[in-house]
Amino acid sequence: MPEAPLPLDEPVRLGALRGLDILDTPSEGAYDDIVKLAAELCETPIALISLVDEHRQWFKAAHGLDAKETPRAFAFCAHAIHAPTEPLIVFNAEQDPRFSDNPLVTGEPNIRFYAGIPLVTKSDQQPIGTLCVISDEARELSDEQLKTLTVLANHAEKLLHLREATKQLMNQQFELQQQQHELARLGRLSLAGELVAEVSHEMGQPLYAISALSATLEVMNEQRGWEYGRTSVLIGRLQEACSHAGQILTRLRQFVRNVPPEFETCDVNEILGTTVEFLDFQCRRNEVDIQLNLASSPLKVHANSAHLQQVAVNLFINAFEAMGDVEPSERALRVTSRQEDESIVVEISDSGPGLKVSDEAAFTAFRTTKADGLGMGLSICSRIIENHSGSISASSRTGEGATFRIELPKAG
Amino acid sequence: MQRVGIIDDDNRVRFSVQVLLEVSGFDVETFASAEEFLASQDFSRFGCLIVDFRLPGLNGLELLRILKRQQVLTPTVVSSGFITESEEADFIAAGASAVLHKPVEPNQLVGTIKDMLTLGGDLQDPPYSEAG
Repeated sequence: MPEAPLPLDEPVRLGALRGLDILDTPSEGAYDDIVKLAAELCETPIALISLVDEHRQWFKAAHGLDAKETPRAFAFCAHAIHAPTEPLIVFNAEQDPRFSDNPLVTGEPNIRFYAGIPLVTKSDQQPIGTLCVISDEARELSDEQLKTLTVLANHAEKLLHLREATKQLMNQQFELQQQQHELARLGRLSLAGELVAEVSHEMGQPLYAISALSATLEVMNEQRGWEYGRTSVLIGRLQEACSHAGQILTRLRQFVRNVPPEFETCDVNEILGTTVEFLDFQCRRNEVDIQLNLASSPLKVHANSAHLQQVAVNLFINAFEAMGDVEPSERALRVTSRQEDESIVVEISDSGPGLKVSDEAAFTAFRTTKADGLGMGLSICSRIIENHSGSISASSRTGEGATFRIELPKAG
Repeated sequence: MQRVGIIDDDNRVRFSVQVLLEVSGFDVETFASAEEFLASQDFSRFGCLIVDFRLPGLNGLELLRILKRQQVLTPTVVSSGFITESEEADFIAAGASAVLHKPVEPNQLVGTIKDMLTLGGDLQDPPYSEAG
C-alpha cells in the first residue's frame, strides 16, 4: 500500500495547521452541522472534517464514525490534500491500487467509496485537511451532490479562515501587550535614571555614617579605648546604617524590577501611600509639603499595581521639578483620592507655575523638553492608564499650579 | 580646646561624625538645622563648623552668608553630596574654607578639622598681641 507522498512544503503546511490551534479542541456545532448535512445530501453513512498533521488525521467533526483520529499512513485525506484545488473521488477502493490493501478498506469501516474536498488556509494557502464523505458501498456521486459537497466544504473553509483571523488578532494583541509592558518597564528605568542623583545623595548618608563609625572604632582600637557599652552602641549604629543603605537599594530594585504583566485587584490608596514612602527622601530634600487627602475606605481597581505606582512616581517627580523655582514654604503637593459613581478618581496638584504647554500637549511624547519638567514619561503614563481602561488629563492655570486627574474604573 | 559645631539634619550622620571627632580628641556640639545653630548664640566657642549643604529651612549656603554678614570668622567646612563647580564656588565666595564631598573620607575629615582649628586659632588671636 503506497503511503501518500508528503507535499513539497510540508513544514509550511504543518505550521499553518498549528497556527490554527485547532487540533484536539472540543467539537463545535457549526462544523458538526456541515458533516451532518454532507452525509445527508450525499447519501453516505459517514462524513468527516479531517485535519492532517504529521502522524495522524484528526476529526474536527465526524458523522457516522466514533473514532476521533486515525494514523496518517491509512488516511485517504492525506492523498486528497496533494491536489488542494481538486476533489479526490474514489468510487471503489477495492479496485484502486492506492487503497486496495488499506486496513480501512480490508477491515472496519470497509471503505469503498470516498469523496473529499481539500480545505485550504487563507494566509498561507496550505491544504490542511478535507471535508469528506465515505461509504462502505462502491457507488457514484452525482454532479449535484459534488456541487453540494463543494459548497459545504467552502463553508467549512470559511469557518477555519475565521478562526485563523481570530488567532492572528489574538497574537497581535498579545504582542502589543508585551510591547506596552516593555515600554512601561523602560519608563521605570528612565525614571530611576532621573532619580540617580537623588539616590546617590541618599546612599551617601549611610555610607558617610558607616565610614565615620568604623573610623571611630579604629581610633578606639588604637587607643585601647574599648568600653562595652560604648562599642555596642557604635556597632548597633553601624548595623543600622548598613540596613538603611540596603533598604535604599531594595526600594530602587523593587521599582525597576520586571513585573509580570498581570492585573489584580489592588487598592489605589495603598499605591499612593507606597509612592509617598518611595519618594520620602526626594520630598524632604525638595522641601515639598505633601498633603494626602485619601478616601477613608480602600479604593479597589483591577490593575497592575507596579504600573500604577510608576504613574504616581512620575507625576510626583514632575510636580517636584515644577516647583523648583517656588519658595520652599509655598511648595505643596496635594494628593486626593475618592470614588465618583463607578470611577476611582485621583488628583495630584502642585503649586508650581502651571504647565508651559497646552494641557493636551503634555501627554505627547517628545513634544515637550525636559526643561518643562515633562518628558516622554507622561506619554507612557497615559498609555498605562489607557491600558487600564481609564483616562488621564491635565489642567493648569498660569501661576496656580497644575492638576493631573486620573480616572479608573472601579473593580467590579 | 575649641569646640567643633556640626550642623546636619541627618541624625545618623550627625551622631557618627560626632563620635568620630570625639574619639579623635575634639569637643563637639551638634545641631539639626541652621536655625537651631543660629539660636544657640555666641559663636566664639567654636573653632570650626561642619555644615551640611542641604538642610531643611535655611540651607548651608544661606547659613554661610548670614555668618559672613555677622562677621563670624569661624572656619567652616561644607559637606555635600553632588554639587556643581559653580555651587562649590558659591560656597567659597560665601566664606567656606573647604568643601568635602559625601561620603567624606574619615581621615580627610579629621585632618581638615585639625587644619581648620589651627587656622581659626591664627585668625582669632589678635595679631601682634605679644607686642602690646
